[in-house]
Amino acid sequence: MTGNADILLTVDTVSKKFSRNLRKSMAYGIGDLLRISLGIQSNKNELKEKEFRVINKLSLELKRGDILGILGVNGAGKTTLLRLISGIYSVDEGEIQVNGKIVSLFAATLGMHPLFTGRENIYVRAAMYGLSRAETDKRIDAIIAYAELENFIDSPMGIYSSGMRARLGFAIAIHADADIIIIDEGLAVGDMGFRAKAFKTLRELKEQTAILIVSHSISQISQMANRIMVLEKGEKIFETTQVQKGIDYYINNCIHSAAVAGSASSDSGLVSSTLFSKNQKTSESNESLQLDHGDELGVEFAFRTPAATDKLVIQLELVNSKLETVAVVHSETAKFKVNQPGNSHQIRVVIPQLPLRADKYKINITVRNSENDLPVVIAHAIHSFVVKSGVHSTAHVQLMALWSQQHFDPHTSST
Amino acid sequence: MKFQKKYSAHSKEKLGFLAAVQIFFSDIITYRSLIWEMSKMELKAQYKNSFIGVAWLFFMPLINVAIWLLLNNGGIFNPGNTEVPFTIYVIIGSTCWIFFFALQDSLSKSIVQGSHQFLLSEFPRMVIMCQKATTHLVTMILPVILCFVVLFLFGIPLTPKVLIFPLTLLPLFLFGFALGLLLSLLEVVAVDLAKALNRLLSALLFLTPVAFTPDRPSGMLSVIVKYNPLSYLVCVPREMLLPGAFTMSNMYLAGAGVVLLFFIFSLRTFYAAETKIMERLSV
Repeated sequence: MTGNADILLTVDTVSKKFSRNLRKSMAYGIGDLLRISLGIQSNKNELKEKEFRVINKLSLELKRGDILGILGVNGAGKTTLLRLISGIYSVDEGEIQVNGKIVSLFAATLGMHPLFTGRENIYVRAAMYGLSRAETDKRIDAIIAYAELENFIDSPMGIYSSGMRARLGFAIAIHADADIIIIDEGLAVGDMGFRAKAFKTLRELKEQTAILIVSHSISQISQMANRIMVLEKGEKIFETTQVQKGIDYYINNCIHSAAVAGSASSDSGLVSSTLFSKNQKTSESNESLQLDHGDELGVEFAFRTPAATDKLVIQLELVNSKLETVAVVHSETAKFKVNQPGNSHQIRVVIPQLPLRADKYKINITVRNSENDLPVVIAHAIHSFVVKSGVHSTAHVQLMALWSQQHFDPHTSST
Repeated sequence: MKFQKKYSAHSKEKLGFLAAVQIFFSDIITYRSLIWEMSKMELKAQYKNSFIGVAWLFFMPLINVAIWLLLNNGGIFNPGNTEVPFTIYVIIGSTCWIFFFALQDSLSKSIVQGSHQFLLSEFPRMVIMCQKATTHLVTMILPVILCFVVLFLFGIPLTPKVLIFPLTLLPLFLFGFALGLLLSLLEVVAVDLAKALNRLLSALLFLTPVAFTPDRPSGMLSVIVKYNPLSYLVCVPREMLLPGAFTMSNMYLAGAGVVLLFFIFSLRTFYAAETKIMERLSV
């Protein structure tokens, strides 16, 4: 580890353990409280009964300008790592050194009160980020404008939609002079338009800050990150500055084992899925359909939601071999609504004429609860297909059009 | 650098008593604006939805007093020679008791009730405790005004001692704050123990000379009253508002000294243990 002034964060062989059993956890807590209150120090770090290491001897360094994308399936230790860095959890082994102000976006609306106006809440939330009233006064117009809440800012926050609250929380956070920004499980900040604006802002903030982003969305990570770290069972199993290489590693070594199509996957929420075209069909994730440009492509998938609901929005992402999301198929675009409330849903999506150029593609499925924008199903690279034919072009999409030749009479046409 | 931090294994456990006091005052100074903004928000929120609003602040001590008056008038107990009308004696005593009890109660429940905020806050958790204490201090202004109004109505003259009345409440405040800090941690990991201690503290009301004079009890109760530090911490502030000379000043000072040491012990324990305890909250 160097003493470089631009190093904002150093995590040095850090470990963290938790107990699987609540009663044991509380019993250990009483022991800790008694020991600490009596001033008895302990340097022991061995695992007690029912304990396991959620982070194990993990190290990383973050400099200004870094956008580190942390990838890992559920239970890999991503959120614990972020909470250790934020000082929310205590370190059991190793050391974390923070040389700047941390602003976490995983609780951007924390402490805001529905009975108070957006303006009143700005002052309180900004004070939580360490800004004085005078400092907030200087920023408040910019915050309101950024959140696009000029017409609602003096109304109680109770009447705001969840998207409006999230926008306000995000706007305050990015005006809080952060050195390190922490984003957990992607950015749930309102509609697609605002999300794009939020991403743009974060990319612009890159020069002044370091950003740590944890997300299930490979496309979000690939759009933003300039470094990738892959976690598995609390350990760093891969780290690279080549984003594509990092994502490839994650897809090939982590996701395929976690979200195998055709089998129940408690991790992703997906129960089964089938990819089909006119004469082909597959339920296997390692089998690719071979298509021509303009062929029909369909996906049929079943998933379970944690609670019975029909408030769902569904998105399919088509990701090319360079891991660029080249097309999305969204239920809202088609004005499709899930009309059977329940825990189990089966959906069929058909693209009549696939307009993509020749390449190999993978499909990601995300299902969100439209009321709180939280994901209920996240399944990446569930299927792949190859488009064999198409005109050579750098454009991702080759649109199908209706062509015809018209009679041309040079005497009647004018210039 | 202002935001430079280092977390290492067991580093907080090495925290000394004086360092804990330093951090405490540094937190108050750094986050004074947040403490005030959050207090205003909690106070406004408490009474914004309430039909009778701040009148609740009068009702709570009045209900307490009404019960004592009922018991006294019914001849169930003899409070001893109070020298001033019993109503005044019990109103001031109850106010001092509530000043202590409500503070520890508010702090001890704060972590479990606001677990999400406690666990995910960017600022030190002690700031939330200080905010609860500030809210409590503001809330207590009205009951204290009520004491003065009653004194005026009964024609009891105020003496210069009244000037040090707020100062004499300080040990009660520190005791309530210190107990609240420790109980808040216990509420997370030892719910049963915390509940038992809470009941014990509620029962202390009857073992503290709030509605009777300290020399009235006999037998076992007189021993408990004598060794209960709250006896002196409650009686001395009341004496400041009533005519007559100082009594129990030595015992009061000794009690205040013990409370100060307990306060420092609690601060140190809270700062050293809070992260280890709060990470057991499931959020």
